[in-house]
Amino acid sequence: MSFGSMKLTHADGTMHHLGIDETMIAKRVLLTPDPLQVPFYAALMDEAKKVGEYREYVTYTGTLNGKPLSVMSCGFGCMPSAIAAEELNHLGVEAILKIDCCPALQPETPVGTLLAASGAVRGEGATKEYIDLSYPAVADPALLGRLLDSGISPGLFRSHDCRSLETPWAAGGRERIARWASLGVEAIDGETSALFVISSILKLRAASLALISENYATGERLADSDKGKRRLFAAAAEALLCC
Amino acid sequence: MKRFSEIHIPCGADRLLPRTGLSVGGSAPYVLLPGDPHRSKVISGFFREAEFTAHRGTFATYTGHTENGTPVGVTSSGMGCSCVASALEELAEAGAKAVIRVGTCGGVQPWIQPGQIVIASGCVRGEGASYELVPPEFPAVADPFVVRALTRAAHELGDDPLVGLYRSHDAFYMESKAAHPGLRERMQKWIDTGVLVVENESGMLFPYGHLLGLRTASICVALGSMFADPNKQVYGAYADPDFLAKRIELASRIALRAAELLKEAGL
Repeated sequence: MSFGSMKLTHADGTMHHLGIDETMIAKRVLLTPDPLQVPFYAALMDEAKKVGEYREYVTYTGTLNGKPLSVMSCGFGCMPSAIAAEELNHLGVEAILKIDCCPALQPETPVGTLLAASGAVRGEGATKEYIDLSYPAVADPALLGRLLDSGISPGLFRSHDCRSLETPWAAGGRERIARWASLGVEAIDGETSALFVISSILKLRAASLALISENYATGERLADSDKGKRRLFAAAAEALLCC
Repeated sequence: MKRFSEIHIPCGADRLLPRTGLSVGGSAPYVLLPGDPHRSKVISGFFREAEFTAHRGTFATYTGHTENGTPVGVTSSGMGCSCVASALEELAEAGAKAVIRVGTCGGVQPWIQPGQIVIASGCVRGEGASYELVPPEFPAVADPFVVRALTRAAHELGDDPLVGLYRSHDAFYMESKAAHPGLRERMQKWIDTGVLVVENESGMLFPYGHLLGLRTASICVALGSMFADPNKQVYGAYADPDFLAKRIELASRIALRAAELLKEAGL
């Protein structure tokens, strides 16, 4: 099986979905699902300018501690995130690190914890089109290693498409959550498995770091997430830019 | 176990639905659902008396009326079935009755031309989300009343749309003109079984709409066939952005006219 997608653009040369070209993006990119969250993270850089806003992809590029860095939204779910990985790869990006607020499944994980995905349960549809389920969704070991070096704990994530079904208020939601909790899954999100599998195939480095904003086992919720998100950004940017 | 239509989404401290920012009961009964958040504002330009309602995440909502006073709204979903699920759950809670996706798609059949309007009768479930809801044998079928209304509205507005099968899937770069090698081999069974186009939302929209008690349908503009112009880096319809914008405007106006027909029919 061979891979090698075509670089698909608009008539002006910007990417078909991301709406940006090579000159607008750094080699290392922080990704977050929600386009409206990108300005918050961009404001934590030394300088950052909005370079793209097309569909759900908002991109800011600038520097942090003198090093080039971009922050971009990847959209909610593996469908738009798969596109983000593909098109960033076409633009010559070397490493991506997703940052997001996620629920924890294990009772011993307090809200406010930063958790790095070691791997992810492939509960979504996008990566099944690339490769069968025997192929693992695993973080880039070097990038994950840098997150661990800064004292962050690793854990398994589950990524899936129908997010509301695995919430305490969904019909049968608690039973669905309990299954993954019993298998030692630590957190749930919508994007990590696509970023990991597709990056692995395309030879792009990818990691994923979550701020635990809610615990489904204890019912605890994080009151002030802005403070946590600043820690999330700082830890992610340090790991992404350190070497 | 509760039926899906009996579930209530907990509102935030602001008493708004958490993902869309809509209030309970705050949606128009007839809602257009584009994927692109920027397209919500464009579509609201075709309303009479459009008002901005809410914008969170990829969900941008405007509310207004059609020319004859039918109450309509537009809520963007963002791309993919994951986003469609969130939008549908909250639109149902916010009081929508019919949700019509308006978007773009890629032609599976080699003869599909850029700008062709295609209305879905049903959809191949090639995506992941709907398998969390219903078993594989469960069909993704568009609401027949909305399909009929869309078809009539298209004819009234002078267009001759295709009406037939869509395929939804999650990996754009596996099934598009820019796809990884082996596209023809992957698509041959869909060409042979008469699937017209691929897109990324209807496989979830139809069965989840059914479970939530919403009438759902899709009207999309084809960007061209995925087998056309294999060496060009630009999809057919994107070669001329004005042409694409005009075709999306027509699809939106067809959907708005369909809303009027549904209201006249008491649906």
